[in-house]
Amino acid sequence: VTDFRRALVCHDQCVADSPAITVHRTTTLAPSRLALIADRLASGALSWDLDVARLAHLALTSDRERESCICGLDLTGLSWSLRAEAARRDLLPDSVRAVRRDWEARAGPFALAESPRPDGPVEVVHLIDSVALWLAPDSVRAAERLLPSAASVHATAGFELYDLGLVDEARTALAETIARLRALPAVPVVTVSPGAVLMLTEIGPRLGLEPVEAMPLVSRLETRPAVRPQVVTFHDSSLLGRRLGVLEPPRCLLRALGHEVVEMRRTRERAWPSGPRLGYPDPDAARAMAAARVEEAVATGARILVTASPQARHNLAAVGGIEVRDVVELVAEAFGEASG
Amino acid sequence: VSAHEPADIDSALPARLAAIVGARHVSTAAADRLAYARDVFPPALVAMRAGGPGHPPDLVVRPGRAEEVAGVLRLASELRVPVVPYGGGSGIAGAALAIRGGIVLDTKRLDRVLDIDETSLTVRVQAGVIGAHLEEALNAKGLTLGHSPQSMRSSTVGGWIACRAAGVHSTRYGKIEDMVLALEAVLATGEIIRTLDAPRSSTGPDLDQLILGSEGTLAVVTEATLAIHELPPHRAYDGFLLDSLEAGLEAVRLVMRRGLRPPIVRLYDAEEGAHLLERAGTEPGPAALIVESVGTEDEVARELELIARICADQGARRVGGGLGRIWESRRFDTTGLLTAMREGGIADALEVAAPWRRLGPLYRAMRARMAVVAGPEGLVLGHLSHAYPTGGNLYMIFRMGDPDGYSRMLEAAFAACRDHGGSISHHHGIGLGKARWMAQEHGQAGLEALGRIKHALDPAGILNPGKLWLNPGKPGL
Repeated sequence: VTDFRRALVCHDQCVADSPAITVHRTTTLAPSRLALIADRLASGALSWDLDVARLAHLALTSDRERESCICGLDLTGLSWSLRAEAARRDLLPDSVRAVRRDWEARAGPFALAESPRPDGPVEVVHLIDSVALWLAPDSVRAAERLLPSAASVHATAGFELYDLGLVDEARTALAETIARLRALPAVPVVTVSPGAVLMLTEIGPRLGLEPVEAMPLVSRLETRPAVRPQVVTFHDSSLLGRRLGVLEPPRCLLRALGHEVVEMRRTRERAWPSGPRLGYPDPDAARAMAAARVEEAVATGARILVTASPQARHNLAAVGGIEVRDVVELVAEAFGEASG
Repeated sequence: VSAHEPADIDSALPARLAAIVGARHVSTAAADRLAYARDVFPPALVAMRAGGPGHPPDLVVRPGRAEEVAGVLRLASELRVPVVPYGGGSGIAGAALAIRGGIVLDTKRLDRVLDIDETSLTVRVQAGVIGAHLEEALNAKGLTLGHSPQSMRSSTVGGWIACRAAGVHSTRYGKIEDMVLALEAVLATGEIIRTLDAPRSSTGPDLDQLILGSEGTLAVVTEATLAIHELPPHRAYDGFLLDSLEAGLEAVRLVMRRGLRPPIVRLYDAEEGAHLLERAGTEPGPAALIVESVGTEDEVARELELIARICADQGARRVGGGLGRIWESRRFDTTGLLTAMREGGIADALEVAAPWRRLGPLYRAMRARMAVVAGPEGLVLGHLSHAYPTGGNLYMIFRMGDPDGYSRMLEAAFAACRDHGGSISHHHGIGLGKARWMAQEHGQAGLEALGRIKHALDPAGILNPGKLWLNPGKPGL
């Protein structure tokens, strides 16, 4: 409460760095105005309705504004709170309701495959998040090739549910995931999904669940030179870059592969997001965000736009105009080509 | 909802507006109305922090083309509904407050940089482009506008034009009125004016200069052609400590008289300079001066050396570029002003201007009178940050515990300003907060002349009513 009340008195120094305002072009999505709306909802001066719920979902949870915020406002946290309250009141935009239906039916992004039983000693557990598999199957398959001796667990860590304010559903998903991980020997968990890492290490404890040691696969990989070095650019996803602080490892991997890494205009902590996640109520705006990021990548002259996030890979690849790959795919190919 | 007379809104208005701009660009939602109920006018911020309703419009409209703006204004004139143009909402004079309800016309869908002419060094840009985004687009081509106000991350091109804004590099590149070559603007009656982007002309009164600074009361600016510059290859700061603010003013006057044009010239009094000097690990002093020079390495070195000689003649001690770098690292940080308001008090920055001969006495008089109102717990600080061959501006910043003292503070400050022949606003504009001093500034005959222009261009009086004191009989505050 203190956090967002500070932003009621604000000079809006973060507006230029706010992707939601850039794409929706409305002051209502300025962080200080969302704080004002939250304040008036809390005081009862403003009533909850579907318009308010939709606003909470249009506001991105990308943390991009934090770089230039002088109020210390955690807009992502505020948006998550508003979305959770909207869900509690069953005020859900159709797009969010559709995601919840998929979860309840364990369909679409939440469809689960059987996890093969490990035979022999387990060095690492590969968590295959169902949403990551649905968004970017090539990334997950590449990870499987790189982890031949890992025990695989197919599960839904629930980040996308949590992000939409579906907190109960997220807790259920995460608890099921943790139970399956705990059934295996206590070894590090790796995954291509930054959201899954965030759930296991940070959000889970806030939901009353024991934390699980987990890390993005990209932080653990080693590689060898690629057969065909290319000029590439790297997109830092909001979760991997800003939330988990994994900025250099993917670049180091790309250089180790022999690629030349060129940077986009907005890069590292200041990277523009590739767009929103599942359940976003405005698909046109989502496409516009991804297109703007691809435009930045194309302007670098890079041949490949690389990322390390299934959601970002999915968003960016849908735009076209440049080859989009996960860094894990490039590493797997380097090993495959070198050995084959 | 508002303390002022509300607009009489026709129930068919939303649908008629939707027919012009599209249904998704018209909103009567309570959350949208709340979001647009404030700008950054300190009393409005304080009131909303205390739970007040602010000044919510009845509708928010977001047109995407000048022709749509024209349609909205024609309809509003027909129905006599107030229209308040709204860019970034970053103005601190209250010009974007919908004090009589009506329509807030958000310009942010007019967000394209239309043409960068690298031969003529001009940029054609729509009014809703956020300043930082325009500068990024220019920098990508090795160019700069040279206009970077502290609000550039939230303010728009249209907002700059509306209040005759100045950026921190104004001493070299000028204020926005020096950059505007042509405008596209929509009158209240729906006609679209498009002026020519010739470098100079002799074709009667200048419509651009009439619209500049009119704060949305005469027309809605939809597009501008602005002069731009090559991005300098090199830049460097220097800094000086002086025995008095007056010695600093004299040094800056002589720098300008010598024909030097450093983009940044910032002269701080003892109180404001103290924070900067403390961060730099330098002993506090009566006045501190920061200058930034740009150009080739040789040009920069030569200009800084000339400035150093002028400052030395005024008894200054040269302390190098550290002060400037510290200032730059914190140039968007307005926490000091915000903290005062978050703690229940109020703060503001009054930016006045006067010729060199009157600037020192004006500073002393304003500071003395403002300090009385601020009281022992309050704070009054001053600096100069925009210099010209003929004079300069003064930022007089105050913080005080009692928000109700805001009007008394402005009364005291502007009485001193009047006594020393200063202008009450150098670049923030008049809006609501300074409206009642307009006659002091222009004289009664001058203000009435402006009122007649307003009436001729906006016969229904729909455009930003209550601002600039241009609606006789309907005061702003």
